[in-house]
Amino acid sequence: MTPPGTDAGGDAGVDGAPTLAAVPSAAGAHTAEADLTEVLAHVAEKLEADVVTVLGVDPAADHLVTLFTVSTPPVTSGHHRVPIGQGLAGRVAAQRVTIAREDLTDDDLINPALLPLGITSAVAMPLVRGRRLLGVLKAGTRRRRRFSPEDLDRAEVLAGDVSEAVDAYVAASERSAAAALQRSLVPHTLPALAGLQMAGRYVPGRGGVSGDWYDVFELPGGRVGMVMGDVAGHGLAASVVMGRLRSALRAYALEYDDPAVVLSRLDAKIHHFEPGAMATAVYAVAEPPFDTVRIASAGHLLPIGMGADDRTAQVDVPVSPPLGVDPTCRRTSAEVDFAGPAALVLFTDGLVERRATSTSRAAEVFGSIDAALGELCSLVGPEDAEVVCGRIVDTMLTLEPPGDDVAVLVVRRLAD
Amino acid sequence: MEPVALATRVEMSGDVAVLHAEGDVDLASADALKTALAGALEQSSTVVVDLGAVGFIDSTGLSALVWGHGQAQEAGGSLRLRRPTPMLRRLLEITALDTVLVTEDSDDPSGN
Repeated sequence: MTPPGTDAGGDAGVDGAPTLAAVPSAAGAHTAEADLTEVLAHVAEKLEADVVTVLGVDPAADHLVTLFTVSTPPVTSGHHRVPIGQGLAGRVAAQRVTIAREDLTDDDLINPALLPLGITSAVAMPLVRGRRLLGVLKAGTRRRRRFSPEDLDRAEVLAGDVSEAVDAYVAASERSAAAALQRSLVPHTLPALAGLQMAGRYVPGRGGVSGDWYDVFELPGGRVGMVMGDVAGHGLAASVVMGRLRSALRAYALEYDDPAVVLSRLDAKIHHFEPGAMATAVYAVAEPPFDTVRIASAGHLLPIGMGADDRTAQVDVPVSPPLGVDPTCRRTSAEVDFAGPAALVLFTDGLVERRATSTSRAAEVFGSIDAALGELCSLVGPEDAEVVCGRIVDTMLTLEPPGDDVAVLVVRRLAD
Repeated sequence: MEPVALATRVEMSGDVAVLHAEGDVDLASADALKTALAGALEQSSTVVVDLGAVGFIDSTGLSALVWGHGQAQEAGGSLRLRRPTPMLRRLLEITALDTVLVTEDSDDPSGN
C-alpha cells in the first residue's frame, strides 16, 4: 500500500511497486510506452493517488478502452470498455470537462477491475489535443478526499503532459502495427514460373507505411496474376484497407478471368464495405506460355513495358477511375504483347511523384510526372529482374527521398 | 521547394461556396483539406475549389477532392475544381478522375 505522499512511481519494493497492465505493443512503440509510464508515475506522485488510469478512445469513437493502469496494489485492468457518456470517465469524455468526486458511487465506477482497490474519491480529466479527444485520465484515492481547486489546476496541467505522451504512444503503436501488417502482406517470395523472372520491393515513406501493396499469385491453369495497388491515406487505417483489398482481389481473381471484371467486383466491394475509401490498382493476368498479358487499371499509373527491341514505354491500356469513386463506371482491359524477351514494370505513384528539394537534377526529374516516367523508362533494361528492380529503386530514391511509400514489381519474360 | 503548409478559406459568391486552397496537399494536409471541404459544404452544396495556388497534390489529396465531390452530389449540388495546375490536370488525366471531377479555368468570382 502506498500511503499518500510517498513516491508511487519510484523504485518501491515488490509489494509497493506500481505495476503496469499495458496493451501489448510492438517493438517500435517501446520508447513511447516507457515515456507514458514515466508520466503516469509522476501523475500518481503529484496527485497522491493510489491508482492512475489512462483510457483511450476506440476507433469507433463510442467507447473508452483502458490503455494503462498504475496502481498499488497492482490490478490487471485488461481492455475494459466504458461507453462514452457512462461512468465517471465516460461522462468526462462526453462533456470534455474535469469532474472530481469525493464519494464515488456505483454509477461512477463501472470498471470492475478497479473495485477491489476500494477507491473512494477520484478526479477524471479529458485528454485533448487540439480539438481531438484522445481519452481520459483518472486518478483515484482509497482514502476519502476532497480535491481542492489547486489540486484540479495541478491535475489539468498534468493532463496536458499525459495527452502528449498518449498521443505519441498511440501514434507509435499504430506505426508499428501498420509496419507489421505491411510486412506480413508484402510477398516474401514470388512464384517461380518457367519463362518468368520476378523481383519486387516495398519501401516505406518518411511518414511510415501507408497503403501501397503488390501481389503475385498463381491461378488455376498455370495462369499468373500480378497486382500493384495504392490505398489513399496513411498509417494503420490505410494498411488495414489495403489488406482487405488484397485478399478480396485474390478471391475475385479466382472467380473471373478478365482483369476489368475483377476490378469492377473489387470496386463494388469497396463501395459496400469500405465507404469513403479510395484506391488505385492495376491488375495483370498472363497464361502460359506468357506471350501476352491482359491488363486493367483503376486509376493506377500504367506499367512500363519493354519489348524485344529494348524500347520502353508505358503500356497502352485504357484507364478507368480509381476504386471507390463510381461503382457504375465502365472498366475495360487490353492485351499487351509479352513475347520474350520482354519486361513489365509495375509501380506506385510514390516512385515518380514527389516534391524535388535537393538538387537541380532531382528538380528536373520530379518537376513533372512525365519527366519522372521518362527517367523510369530509361532505367528499365534487359538484365535480370533483380538488377533492374534494384537499379530503379536505388536511382529514383537516391535522387530525392520519397515522402510517400514506394512499391515496384519487375516481371521479365525470358526469351524462348 | 520545401513543403508549403496548406491554408484554406471559404467565401460565398452568390449561392456558391468558393474554397481557396493555398500550399501543398499531401498525406499531412489532406485531412485539413477534407475539413475545409466539409466547412464549405455546410454553406452550400455547390462548391468551387480554387486550386490555382496549390503547388503539390498527391493521391490522398485527390481522394479528399473525390470525397467532397461525392458529398456535394449527395446533397444535390456539385463540386468543381477551378484553376487546376498543369500537374493536377495531368494527375487527373492519369487517374481517369478527369471523367469524374469537373474542372474550370475561369476565376470569375461569380462562380459561373
